[in-house]
Amino acid sequence: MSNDTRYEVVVVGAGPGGIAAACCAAESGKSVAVIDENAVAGGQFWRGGLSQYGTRQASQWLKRSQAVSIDWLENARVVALRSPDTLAVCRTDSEDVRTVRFGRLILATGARELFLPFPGWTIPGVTGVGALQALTKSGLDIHGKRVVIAGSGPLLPVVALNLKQYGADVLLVAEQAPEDRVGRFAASVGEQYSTDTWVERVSSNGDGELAVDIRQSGDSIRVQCELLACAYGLVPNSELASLIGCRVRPDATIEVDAQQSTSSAGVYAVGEVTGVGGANAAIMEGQVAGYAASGNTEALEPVLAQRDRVREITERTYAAYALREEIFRLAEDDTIICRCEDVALGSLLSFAAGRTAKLQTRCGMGPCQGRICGPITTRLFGWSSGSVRLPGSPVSLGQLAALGDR
Amino acid sequence: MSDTRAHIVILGAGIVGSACADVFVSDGLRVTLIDRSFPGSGATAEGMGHIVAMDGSPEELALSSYSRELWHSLSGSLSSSCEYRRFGTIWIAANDRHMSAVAAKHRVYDAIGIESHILDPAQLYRQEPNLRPGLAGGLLVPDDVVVYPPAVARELVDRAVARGAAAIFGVDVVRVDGPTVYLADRQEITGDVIINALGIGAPRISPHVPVRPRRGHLVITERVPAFVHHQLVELGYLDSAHGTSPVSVAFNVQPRATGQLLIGSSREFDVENSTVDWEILSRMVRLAVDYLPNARSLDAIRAWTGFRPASADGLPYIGPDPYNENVWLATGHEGLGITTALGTAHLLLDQLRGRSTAIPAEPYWPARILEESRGER
Ligand SMILES: Cc1cc2nc3c(=O)[nH]c(=O)nc-3n(C[C@H](O)[C@H](O)[C@H](O)COP(=O)(O)OP(=O)(O)OC[C@H]3O[C@@H](n4cnc5c(N)ncnc54)[C@H](O)[C@@H]3O)c2cc1C
Ligand SMILES: Cc1cc2nc3c(=O)[nH]c(=O)nc-3n(C[C@H](O)[C@H](O)[C@H](O)COP(=O)(O)OP(=O)(O)OC[C@H]3O[C@@H](n4cnc5c(N)ncnc54)[C@H](O)[C@@H]3O)c2cc1C
Repeated sequence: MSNDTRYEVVVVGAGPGGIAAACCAAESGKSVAVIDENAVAGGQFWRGGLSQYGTRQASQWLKRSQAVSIDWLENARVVALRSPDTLAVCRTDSEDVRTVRFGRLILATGARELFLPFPGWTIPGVTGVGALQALTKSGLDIHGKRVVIAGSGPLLPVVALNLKQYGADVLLVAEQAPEDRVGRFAASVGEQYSTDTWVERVSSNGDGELAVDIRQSGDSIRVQCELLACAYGLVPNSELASLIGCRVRPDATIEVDAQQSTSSAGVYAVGEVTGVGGANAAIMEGQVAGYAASGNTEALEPVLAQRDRVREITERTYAAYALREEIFRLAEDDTIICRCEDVALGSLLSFAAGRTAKLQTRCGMGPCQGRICGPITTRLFGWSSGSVRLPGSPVSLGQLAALGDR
Repeated sequence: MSDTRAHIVILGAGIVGSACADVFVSDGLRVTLIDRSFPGSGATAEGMGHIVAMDGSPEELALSSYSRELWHSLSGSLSSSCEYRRFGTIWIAANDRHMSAVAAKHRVYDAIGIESHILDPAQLYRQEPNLRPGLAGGLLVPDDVVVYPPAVARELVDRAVARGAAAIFGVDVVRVDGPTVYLADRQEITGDVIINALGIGAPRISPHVPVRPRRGHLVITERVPAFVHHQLVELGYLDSAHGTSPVSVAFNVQPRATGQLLIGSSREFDVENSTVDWEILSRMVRLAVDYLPNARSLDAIRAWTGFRPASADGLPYIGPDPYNENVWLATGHEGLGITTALGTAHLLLDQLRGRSTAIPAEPYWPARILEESRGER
């Protein structure tokens, strides 16, 4: 077990929100560490590292981050609070563990994709939307592959364009929201973008070919493809916040005040984990938290108003993607809800509360600890996600033993 | 109880109350079962589900081995969700001192007809290749069982209800006065006999009954089928279970029907909060990976704590409450309540019916403790 270095500000998550927060705290003269489970800082937006992206925004933050002293703890996952001011950290590429002490803590843990069940959603060839993009960026060859992208949100057209650049044959981008709300996104993708459209079912004929049944403006059509990427927006990664004791809303977003403070003293939260969509908002929130956590009121003042403006724009954008009722009624009795424990919809229907169902069927008790099915059962049955149990993500027994060893 | 249709009100639908409901209804009694939550949601949901012949004392062994037989008989009617597996137990001897304890334990089991086999090191490693080298041997008890307790509780309740038991769930029991049970929603239920099977909640209704919560930690791993084949317990376990030290930890690893490992166990008195304690958790896990070095790289997916209802002397309270002629107690089962729930239910039934019991019932009568404490006042 290595030493527990103390930093005045510790940031968990090195996405746009975390990077901005860390820079602002370091520029304010604080000792800063950023902890992220990936090999390179960047998060979902700058996956693979800032230097890979030619945008003005990316180069600006690359420059700012290089101009100050920040300790980047990479391949490192925060699994729990070890004591009130100490994080328990596990390496993701070795069995090493360490602790990190903090004065102030900024949670910038981002979000994951929201999956909603329909018959066939768990068969091979069906992935998440951001997940397919990430796979492609890390080397999956999709050249010439026929792809259907479905679900909801601004990520759909972004990923569609991106996959096209990699040579994919994007047959259809199915957005469940109505045209009058999101129509302007259609232009960027072209004729394949279709609103009022959603996947009802998918089946496989065995040799890598998927048959996707789609409802499009009231009609049923069938599209044959090789890959179906489907996601309905994002769910905040707020498990760590719950373990720490921050107040988290039923939709899993962390409650924050105007200065990005959570309900726990000295703990801030920024970016997608607070429910605010998009990298721009994450960056603005990161700056607010970075300055606020450093007590840099002079720098804080101007970014507050900027953040509010960006928030307002993104909130308006995201409101357009409210999910329609039909999406929640697609699963059938034998449709899997909990992938880890193979629990189907039918076996959950007789339970009134999430905890009973969990205990009796093990729904949500597998290795992912309900990260996938928790948001589903919340939306389908109104079950609360319940208390988060330690560790925040799976750690080896060896690491668990070592973490208490102090 | 000559009135065959007497009305029994059971407070608490943990494994103990659920077993009572099932057994009483089968014998023709009228039953009302009450719980503030749902069946099996208390200690029954938090524990390990090891059905074990435990020889901490002759009385403990009598009740646990009687109960174990009842589990064997019940098994045929349990659905697969109960995950009943006759995995057996291996008591592990780390050294020669433990090995002589193995021999003694073997004799104890033998004397009451419980099958067990002394294992030399070669036999031990044939059974459990993942154990660390250098152990002295062990004692295999093949007929010990593992179940998934909350599913059993639910099933026993469903069966009882299907045969006419009334169930009131989601309401707190507030107090008992004479033959009447008062619920938080102002219902009043009157019974011929009231069974207090409220686990650690028992003293709320019967304040004179000494039941202390004894906290335990558990960790469950990812699925690793056939990593171990028996419940593995170190011989030092009994010291831990029966000792009085404020914190004790013992090696205790259970194979689940799912292929997961459930790792225990710790014991602490006088802690009320359910927050996982890192010190204790890691002591427990270190002991587990010390015995099973290859488990080091297995992922732990969840850790939690639970509270055993501990009695004053290590034996459960089963029998009439000397303070209230309408109430019978069925609590204080500590770390053995899954095992002993069935024996508890049958002992109560036979006594209520005025029949002779399969094992002597007096050792478990609450009077042994309560009369004493009454005298002290
Ligand atoms: C799969 C996916 C792909 C996306 N792709 C795009 C895209 O191409 N374009 C776009 O505009 N938006 C994309 N988004 C939306 C994106 O989440 C936001 O726009 C933006 O990245 C939010 O920034 P953030 O700082 O809040 O979080 P993120 O960028 O998500 O960063 C959070 C970081 O924290 C890390 N982390 C979380 N928990 C821990 C922990 N306990 N210990 C250590 N590290 C932890 C995560 O691994 C991640 O690196 C994507 C989202 C997802 C889920
Ligand atoms: C870590 C750990 C490991 C264990 N391992 C094993 C093992 O391997 N083998 C074994 O045999 N035993 C084991 N046990 C012990 C076993 O779990 C308990 O002895 C057993 O579950 C007790 O059952 P019960 O029905 O008495 O209590 P509970 O299951 O707690 O049931 C009591 C019920 O009463 C209800 N209740 C309480 N107060 C009120 C009220 N005022 N109004 C209405 N309802 C109320 C509760 O909701 C609860 O459902 C373990 C326990 C722990 C904590």
